[in-house]
Amino acid sequence: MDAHFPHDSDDLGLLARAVANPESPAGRHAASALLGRYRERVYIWCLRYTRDHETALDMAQEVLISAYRNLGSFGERAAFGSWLFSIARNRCLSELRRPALLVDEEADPDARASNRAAPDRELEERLDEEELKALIQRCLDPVEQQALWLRCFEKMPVEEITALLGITEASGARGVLQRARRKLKAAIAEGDS
Amino acid sequence: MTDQCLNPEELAELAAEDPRRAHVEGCPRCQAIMTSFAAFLDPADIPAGADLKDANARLSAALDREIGGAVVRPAPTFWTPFRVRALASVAAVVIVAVGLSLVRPGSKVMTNSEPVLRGMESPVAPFRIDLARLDDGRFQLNWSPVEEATGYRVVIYGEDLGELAGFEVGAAITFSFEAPVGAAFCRVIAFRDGDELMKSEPVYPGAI
Repeated sequence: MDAHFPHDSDDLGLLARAVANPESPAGRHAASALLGRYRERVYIWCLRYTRDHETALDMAQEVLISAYRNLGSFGERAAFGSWLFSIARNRCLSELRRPALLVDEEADPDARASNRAAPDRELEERLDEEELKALIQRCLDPVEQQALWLRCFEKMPVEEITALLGITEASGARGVLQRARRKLKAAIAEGDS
Repeated sequence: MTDQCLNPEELAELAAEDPRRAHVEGCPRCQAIMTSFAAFLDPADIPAGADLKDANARLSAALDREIGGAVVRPAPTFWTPFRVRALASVAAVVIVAVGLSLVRPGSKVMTNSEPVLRGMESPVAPFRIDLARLDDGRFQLNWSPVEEATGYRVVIYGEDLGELAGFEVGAAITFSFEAPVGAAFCRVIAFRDGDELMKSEPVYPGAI
């Protein structure tokens, strides 16, 4: 024998109950059940960025509590998961320093002692995001494009990019990123000359 | 980011036939966010250093503190003040009723085979049931056949001791279910040709 409770497995149903009567036991139950469903995902998401259990827990707690306090502002959105993802993503992005597009010490250890870092950063700062995107789309293949964007604008650690994109080459996303940067620098140098 | 780029929520909910897909498929920014969202929803590979047990316990406690009193706790105990009062009331009624029946001429001694308290649904003779959590998070009840029983009913009760859900399971002696929100405990009731024969002891999904 088997039983399902489709009404209870519906995020929006739980949300409606949580928002309709937030101070009642039923409303609190619903909010707790709803956030409980995503608790682990938010933690794992934060851990991808921080790679530290305690820091990830702190951030996940902030995300979940922020979501709970703002359940009333969910409004007419279609899905709770995507709303919570936005909150988690913004929280992680605000926590981390944006890696430079052309020089990334984590992805390219040789860049640490490089004197070229300052000119590269300067060059990058001359271009706005739209110009960079056009350059990326023109010069890089789809995997390189996505890897570079995940690294530079989604601030994702290199190992996580390797896993997310299923990169199988031995050096993982690190190799893809180094190749992408070489191509970008060449394209910029060609444009300057 | 261009005017055509979608925000993360729009990207996450983009339908297959949405015309904006043409932009999304060629845009590294939109593609990166969609990849991220897929990984958020379905974290297939767990990052190194993860401690899911600790994370679940601590985040659950933090949410409990934030949301307040009546929430689904990881391991609720049966002896909440409300339940203690409810059980004490039932116990008092039973003691008084038994006492009265014993002092009345011609009164009988209570047995499992015949009801003695007016208003009671069935004699108190709980049988044991086992509750286990399955890998998918659902629960499974198992019990041994009750003598003379022709059918069973599984009942899930809420914290107010009211019935949240009930399932006629025929002669089966196993039953799996997803605990509904607010479930406090469940039990199995054995029937013989439609008449209640015996109740199981209660078991508590939240305690597993």
